[in-house]
Amino acid sequence: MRVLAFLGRRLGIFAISLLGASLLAFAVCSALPGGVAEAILGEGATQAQIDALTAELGLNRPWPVRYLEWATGMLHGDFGRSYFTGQGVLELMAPRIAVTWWLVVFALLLSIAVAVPVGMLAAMKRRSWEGFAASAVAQLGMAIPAFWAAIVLVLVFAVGLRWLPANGYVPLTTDPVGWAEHLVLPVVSLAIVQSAVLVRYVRSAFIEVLGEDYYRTARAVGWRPFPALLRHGLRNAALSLVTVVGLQLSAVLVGAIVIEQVFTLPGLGSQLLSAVSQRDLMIVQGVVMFLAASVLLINFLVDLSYAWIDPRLRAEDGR
Amino acid sequence: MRRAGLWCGAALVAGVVLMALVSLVWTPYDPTLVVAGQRLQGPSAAHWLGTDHMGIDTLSRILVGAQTTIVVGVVSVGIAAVLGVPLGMLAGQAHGWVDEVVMRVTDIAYAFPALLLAILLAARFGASPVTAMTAIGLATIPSFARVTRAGTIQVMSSDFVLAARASGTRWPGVSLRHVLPNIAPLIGVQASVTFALAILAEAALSYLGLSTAAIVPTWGKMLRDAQTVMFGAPLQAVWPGLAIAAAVLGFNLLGDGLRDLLDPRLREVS
Repeated sequence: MRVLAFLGRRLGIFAISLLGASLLAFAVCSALPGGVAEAILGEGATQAQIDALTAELGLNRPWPVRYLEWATGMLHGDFGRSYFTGQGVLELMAPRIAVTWWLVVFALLLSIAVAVPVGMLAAMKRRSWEGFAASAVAQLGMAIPAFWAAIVLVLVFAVGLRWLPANGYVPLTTDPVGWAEHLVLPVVSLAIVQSAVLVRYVRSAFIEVLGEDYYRTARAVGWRPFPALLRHGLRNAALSLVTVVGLQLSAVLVGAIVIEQVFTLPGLGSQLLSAVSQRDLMIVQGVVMFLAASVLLINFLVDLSYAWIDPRLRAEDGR
Repeated sequence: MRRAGLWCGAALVAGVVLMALVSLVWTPYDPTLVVAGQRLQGPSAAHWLGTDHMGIDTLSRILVGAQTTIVVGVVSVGIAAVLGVPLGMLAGQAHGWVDEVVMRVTDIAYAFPALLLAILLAARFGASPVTAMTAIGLATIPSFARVTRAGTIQVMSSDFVLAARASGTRWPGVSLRHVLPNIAPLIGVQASVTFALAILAEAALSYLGLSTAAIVPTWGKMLRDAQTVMFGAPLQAVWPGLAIAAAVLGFNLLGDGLRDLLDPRLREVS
C-alpha cells in the first residue's frame, strides 16, 4: 500500500511538472501576442498584415483553446507544425533523436566509468596527496566549459594530430567506424566536465560510507579496504549516486545542445538552435517541450529507482 | 590545505574584478578598433595575446570581457537571490500547505534547465544579455529558495528565536532581525557558487550567439569567433577559455572555502 502511495505521489509530481513545462513553453512561444506572425512577416510588416496572418493561422483564438489543442496533440505524438514549412515537429525531430541519444548515453557512461573509481580513490586516500590531487583535478574539470574542452580537443586531435574528424556525423547504419570516430571527441568533451562534477559526489558518498559501522565491521573481520568498500559501500553509496546521475543526465542533455553546435552534429540541439535563429516558434516550442519532458521523465525514473534500491524509502513519504 | 582553496578562490575572483576595473579606465588598445592589416597575429611584444580575426588586440578584449562576466554574474545572482531568499524564508517559517506549495513549485522549476529557458526566451524576445541574465537568474531561484529554507528552519528552532517570539516580536521582525543575519553566510556561499554557474551559462549562451550584441566582447563570443579561424590561429581559442575557467574556478573555490569556514564539520565530507 505504501509502495502504491509513493508511486502515485511521484507520478502526480511528474504529471504536474509536465503540465508546468508545457504551459511555460506555450506561454513564451504562443500565448504572448504578436510573436509568431511578426516573426514570419519580418520587420517591415504592417499591423493589418500581422492581424490577417494571425487570423489565418488561427492564433487569434483564445489561448486556452490553442493550448489544449497543442497539449492533446502531443498525447497523440503530434508536437505541432512549423509555421514556415508546415512540417511536423516530431517528423523533424525523429532522425535527430538518435544523434543526441548516442551523445548523451555515451557521455554519461564514460563519466560514470571515470568518476566512480577516481571518487573512491579520492575518498580512501583523502588524507594523502593522491586524494588531494584527485579533488584538485575535479575542481579544474568543473571550471572548464564543455564547449571549450571540445574546441581544445579539436585543436589537438583533429587539427594537430589529425587522428579524428573535427566535425560532422555519419549514421551508425551507414558506416559504424565513421560513426564511432565522429562521436569520440563530442562524447569525451561532454564527459570531462560531467565526470568532474560526479567525482565530488562519489567522494563524499564514499567518505560517508567509510564512517559507517558496517564498514568498520567488515574491515575488522579482515576485509581489505577496497573490496570492503565495493562489497558493502557501493549499494549504500548508490542511493545518493542515483540522484546525482539523474541530475547529471539532464545536465548532459542540455550540454549536448552546445556540444552539437561545436561539432555540427545533426541532433536535437542544432534543430532547436536553427529554429531559434529562424524564429520558427512552433518548432522551438515543440523541441523545448520534448527536451523538458525527457528531463522530467529521467527525474521520475530516478525517483522510482529509489524504491528499488532502498526499500526504506517506500515506507516514507518521499521527502 | 583547505584554506589554500579559499585563498586561491579569493585571489582568482579578485583578479577577475581587477581586470574588469582596469578595463574601465585602460586597455592596451581600443577593444573595438578593427585593424585590417593586423589580423590573427601571434603573441608579440606589441600584442601579448595576439590579435583576433578582425585585427583587434586580444588582451584588450579579454580585459573588457571581464566586465560582461561580472555584470552578468551580479545581475543573475541578484535576480535569483531577491526572489529566492524571501521565498525560502517564507517556506521555512510558514508550516503546512504554504511550505508544501513553495517547495513543490521550486522542485518543478528546478527540473527546468537554465539553458533551455534562455533559449526559449531568446527565441521569443530575441537574443540579448537581458534575456540571458533573466533566464539564468530565474532558473537559479529554486536553489536559493532551498538553501534559505533549510537555513531558516534551523534558525527558527533556536532558543533566541523562541525568546524573541515569546517576547512579542512578530514575524517580519523575526525574519529581518534574527533569521536573515544568521543565514546570510549561507546565502553568500550560494551566491558564490551560483556566480560560477552564471559565468558558465553566459559563456555557453554567447558561444551559441544567444547573448550579446556583436560588438560587446564576451569570452564566450570570442571562442565562437576563434573557432572559425582555429586552423590559422589556434591560440585565439585558448585565451578566452582560460579566462572563463579561471573565473569559474575562483568563484567555486571561494564558495567551497566559505562553506568549510562556516561549518568545520563539513570539512571532512565535502
